[in-house]
Amino acid sequence: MSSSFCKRTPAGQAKPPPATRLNTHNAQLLVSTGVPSLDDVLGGGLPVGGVLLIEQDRQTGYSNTLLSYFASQAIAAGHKLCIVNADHQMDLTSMLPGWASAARGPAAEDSRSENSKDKSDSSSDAMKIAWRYQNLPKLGDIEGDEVSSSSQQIDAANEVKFCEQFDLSLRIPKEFVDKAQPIIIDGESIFNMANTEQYGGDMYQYVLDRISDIVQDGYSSLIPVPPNTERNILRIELRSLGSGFWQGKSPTSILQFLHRLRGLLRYSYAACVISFPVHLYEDSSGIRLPIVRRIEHLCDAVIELESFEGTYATPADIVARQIKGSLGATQDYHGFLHIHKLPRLNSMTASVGRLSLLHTGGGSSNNLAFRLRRKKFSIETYHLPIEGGVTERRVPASDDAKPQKRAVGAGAGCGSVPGRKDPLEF
Amino acid sequence: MSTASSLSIRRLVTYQQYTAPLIIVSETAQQTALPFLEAMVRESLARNMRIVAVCIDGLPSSDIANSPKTGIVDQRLSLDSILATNKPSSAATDMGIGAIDQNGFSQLQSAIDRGLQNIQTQMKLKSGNGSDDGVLVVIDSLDRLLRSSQTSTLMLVRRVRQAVCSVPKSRVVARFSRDLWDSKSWSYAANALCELADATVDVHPLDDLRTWMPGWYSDGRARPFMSLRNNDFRRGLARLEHKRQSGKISFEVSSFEIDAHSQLLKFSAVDVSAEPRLPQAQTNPSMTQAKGTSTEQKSQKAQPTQPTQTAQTAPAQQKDADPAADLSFNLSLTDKQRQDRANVELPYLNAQVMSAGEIHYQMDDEDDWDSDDPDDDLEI
Repeated sequence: MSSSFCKRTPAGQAKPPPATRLNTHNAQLLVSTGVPSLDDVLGGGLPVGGVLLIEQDRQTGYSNTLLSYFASQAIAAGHKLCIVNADHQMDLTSMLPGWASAARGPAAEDSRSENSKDKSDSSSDAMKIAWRYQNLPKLGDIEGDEVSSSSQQIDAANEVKFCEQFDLSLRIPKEFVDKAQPIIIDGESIFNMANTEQYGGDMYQYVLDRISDIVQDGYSSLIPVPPNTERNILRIELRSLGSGFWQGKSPTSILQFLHRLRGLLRYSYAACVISFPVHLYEDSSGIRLPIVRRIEHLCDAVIELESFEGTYATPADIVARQIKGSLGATQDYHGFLHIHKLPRLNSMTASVGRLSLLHTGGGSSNNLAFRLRRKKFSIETYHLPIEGGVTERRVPASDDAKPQKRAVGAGAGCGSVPGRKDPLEF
Repeated sequence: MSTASSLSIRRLVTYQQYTAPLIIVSETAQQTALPFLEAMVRESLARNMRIVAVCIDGLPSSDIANSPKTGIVDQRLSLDSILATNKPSSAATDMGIGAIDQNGFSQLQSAIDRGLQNIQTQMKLKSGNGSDDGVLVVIDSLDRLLRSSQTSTLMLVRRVRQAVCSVPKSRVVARFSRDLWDSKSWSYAANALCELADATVDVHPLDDLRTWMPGWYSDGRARPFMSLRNNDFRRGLARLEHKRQSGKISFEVSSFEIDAHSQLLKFSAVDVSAEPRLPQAQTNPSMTQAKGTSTEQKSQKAQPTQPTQTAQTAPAQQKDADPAADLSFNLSLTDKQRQDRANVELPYLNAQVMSAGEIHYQMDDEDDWDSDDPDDDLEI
């Protein structure tokens, strides 16, 4: 952790930037990604100065959902946002999930009144018998309950919440997006600007120069600022880096870009999330090209989203599915989350394991899966469904698959619905 | 499972249900997709749609090219341009003859836009207050474009797709070869196009059906690069990957045939009943549909060792049925009879076949489950 964050000035200790948290194990400044369960997986949050690589799922849009959460959290926390997207034109107002409670707003005055309300609520919930467990984090913490948010407060006065609660069915109102003034570099403008004499068609170089300009405009820790100015965080989002629309001078331009980006970010108050279409870099048998490994080495944290629906199905798989019928076990979850690398900036090991409720670090064997519900994206432990199948105890989805349905005589088992066969009945 | 009428690819090609602004058709040297592409174009012509044919490799067939509803954007290589590239510049040697540079791409883009606009004005003139029929833009082959610059090709395809989205009921269909590149750049280009596309159709030769059946594995011999059934200009197999607007993705395989008279496409589901028999006698009736004839069973018993037999394909089944044709009585079953046989519920099959761990109790006559309170008859 660079010591510039905690420089003691005679006038008093500098305050940490808004909506950040200090990792107690290695004194690193963390920002939230917007998804509480992803913060938990990363060990509290994304370290400032680090780069998170999300290996994109094929054909489905789950990584875009994660990135939209990241952008929404930036606006909610008052951080500066910069989005680079070569694939599409970005229309932020239609993409970013809105706040879950209508009364909330970013860094608003009413957050102080909310804080005091939370504290009084939590005191009335104090446990009488199991008081030893009072201070342990509850599983509900991952969901970001109102009651437990009081434990995250560092400074009661004027504190912006570390991670805002979002609702995917709502959208952020346009005035907040405009007030935040995000910097968007998207679509064909990158291609056109990169095709000038100066860059010679190298889009990576152009984007790096733009990012470098933005960082040096107040977010770099190398440039001294007047004492007691509050630092703000810059959040950089690179969507689908390395996709078909990105063009570089050589096949390894992306590596040079990432190396320079990491060097730039280490001395700045910026956090970066990159989504990377890894399925484009696999050959026909599913083996990844070596460049993917090098890209992973250049980033600080790497997670992979593998969606069940979008993975490539060979014709043999498709025919097999026709015979067997669709899988029941994967109905609840939408895909697996694989962790390839945990963030460790300036330390020997990632300090994630003990802090994480999902038990991700330290070689644990917890399988993680993600689920996109109507209002929320969450990462959970992957549980196999109960023996006999959950759906068989409920109303069966399709009756035509079982032509031999019989009516049970008088309907016997305790969980059975009359007229349907209960598979656990004996 | 999916009858011919419920095949998504059929509904897609005949414009019955789905709006897919961009369809990518891919082919290999073993099976060309050009007849498939032209059949799709004829399907659109039959529906009174306008065609903008972007010819980069070759002109379409004469009936399509001469139709009044077709506008041709001709970007084919001319002999002069091939002869002109004799300068040993790095671009020519890297990208090959006929490479298109940035100017070429923008020219192509503007040519396509002009073609679309011409068609649209024609349609407005004809029908007056706006057009009902859509436009089909056919890009004959993306290979030369991909060889020149993958990024520019993707941008071009994206722009054309956007242009087509603004015209109702319109579509872009593009063809490319998926086996032309080495393993790295192939997957990049094919996957990148697949990401962009709303539907991808991979055309395979008929012989590939054998390798799709469950239980198939190679006997070690190299498959012939060219076989007699490859590049059948009327038949083939298609693998469809369809990304709906709701975000749902569906996969489907089917076989297609181009009708000799109408030159239109006919799709049928892949016959999954032709799968290898296990060495034991146990078969699962819910999986098979055509296991009826006794002569087939006899032929099974006559060949006791099955472990290395590959899955039977349709010609093999016809071979087995031939002994039945010589008899004086009819042993074959009609489809309905096969269906009924498969639907017969064998008494304890459910318990046999279902996964272990579940207990299936089939009630006897004496059992009478009484759901009332068992303590009711206590007289206390």
